[in-house]
Amino acid sequence: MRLSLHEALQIDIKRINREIENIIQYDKDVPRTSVLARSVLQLIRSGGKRLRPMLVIAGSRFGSAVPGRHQLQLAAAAEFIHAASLIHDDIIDRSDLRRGAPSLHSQTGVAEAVHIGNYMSARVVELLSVYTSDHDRFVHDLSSLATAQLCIGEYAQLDHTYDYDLSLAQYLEKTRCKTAQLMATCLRVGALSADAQPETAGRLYRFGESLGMAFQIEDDILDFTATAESLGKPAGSDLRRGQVTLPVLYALTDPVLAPHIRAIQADSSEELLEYVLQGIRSGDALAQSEQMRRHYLQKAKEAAEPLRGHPAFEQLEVLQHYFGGKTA
Amino acid sequence: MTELIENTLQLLNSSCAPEVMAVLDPNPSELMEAASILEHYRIPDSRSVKLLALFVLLELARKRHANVCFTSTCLTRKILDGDYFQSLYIQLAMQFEEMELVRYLAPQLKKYYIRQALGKDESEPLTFTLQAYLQAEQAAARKNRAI
Repeated sequence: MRLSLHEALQIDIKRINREIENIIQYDKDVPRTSVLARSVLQLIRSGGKRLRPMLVIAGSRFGSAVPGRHQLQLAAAAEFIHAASLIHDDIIDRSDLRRGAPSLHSQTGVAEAVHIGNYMSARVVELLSVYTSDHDRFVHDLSSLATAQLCIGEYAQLDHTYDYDLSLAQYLEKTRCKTAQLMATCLRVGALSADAQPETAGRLYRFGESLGMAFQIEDDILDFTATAESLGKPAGSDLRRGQVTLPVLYALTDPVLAPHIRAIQADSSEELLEYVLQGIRSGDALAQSEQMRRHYLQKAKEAAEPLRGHPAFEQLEVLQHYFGGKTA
Repeated sequence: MTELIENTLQLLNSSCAPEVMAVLDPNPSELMEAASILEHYRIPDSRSVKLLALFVLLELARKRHANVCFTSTCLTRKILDGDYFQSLYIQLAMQFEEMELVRYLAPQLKKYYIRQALGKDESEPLTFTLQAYLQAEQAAARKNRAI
């Protein structure tokens, strides 16, 4: 039987989950039975792969210090930041579902959900604000640089909605900001928290960035290949919302399909969407996207190579295997 | 004071990523009040600009996320702007070496969002929080000098 990622990485996922829940449960300012506490706990308990916390822990194994509670807290903080961004994403996308269940704003109302997301980010800042020394500056990258980049990626997505002239370079930059940088930051923060050499942390960052790119491209492919049940939302959702993802970009080079893709707008018919979905599934676009995904996995492998002699190197191989083996 | 405000907005304009195309429209009366607090506490000009910039980012983040709903105009941009200003606040605070301010304000800002999430509108104006911080900072400085 195939091991799950946390088992393969030998990470105690229950401890991480406990630490994530502690962030809200130990917050004396939040009434325990409030809609805020219940909503955050429900979101956290609804699943999620916990990739970001695992990246923090994996990164920490490249340091000279023995990873402990500090790394668990950072791992939990990374998941909190990610979860906060999901709440706001669902509002932006007007998604009624998250992980197959009603999204948070569908239960609380939009204004409340926006502030629940804000609370989660502010709580992380509060927890990490004890680290004020120069030596610990890197911990704030999670709630500053990585989050700002995430927003920049979202701005790019907003500006290019239904923009069928989006270039490949623009798509890649948006993907880097939106997904890859937070994953890369998790690895680097984990490493630096355990006193890893800056050079090692930099290599882990580059590894994580390429892995994050591959992860997002896979997500783009799955929008066309996976079932609604496994996605937790209707297949083709990105296309419907005018998101020009990598398969769409490649499909736009097909002179027969391109005019139909370009005709897709917010009020397009189901027939047109279905026709384009089928066209993309049956053409070369998905194979080309898969090739690009492989390219980033190879880049990740190359970034990791100088760390081969490190006792924790196996962690990177596990991550490569996990990220590399899903779509193909 | 006008110069301080102009310099602050200029600093923020150059700090925001160009792709964000941020509109910096802080509440003029709050901005004036914050500037006068900084003047009252005799904060040097070079630091006043930075503190006022951080104040503006927090004020804008609050403003963009206030009372949003699906029928709000530019809902997506409002959410993104609020998130971006909030993250830029931390980024610039680090750059300006004002992490003590972040530490002081973090629980207050968090409590503000808790109240908002629970539908309670009452909240302390940000200018009060800024004043309390400067007061605490000067009290700590006096204590240190006495020691």
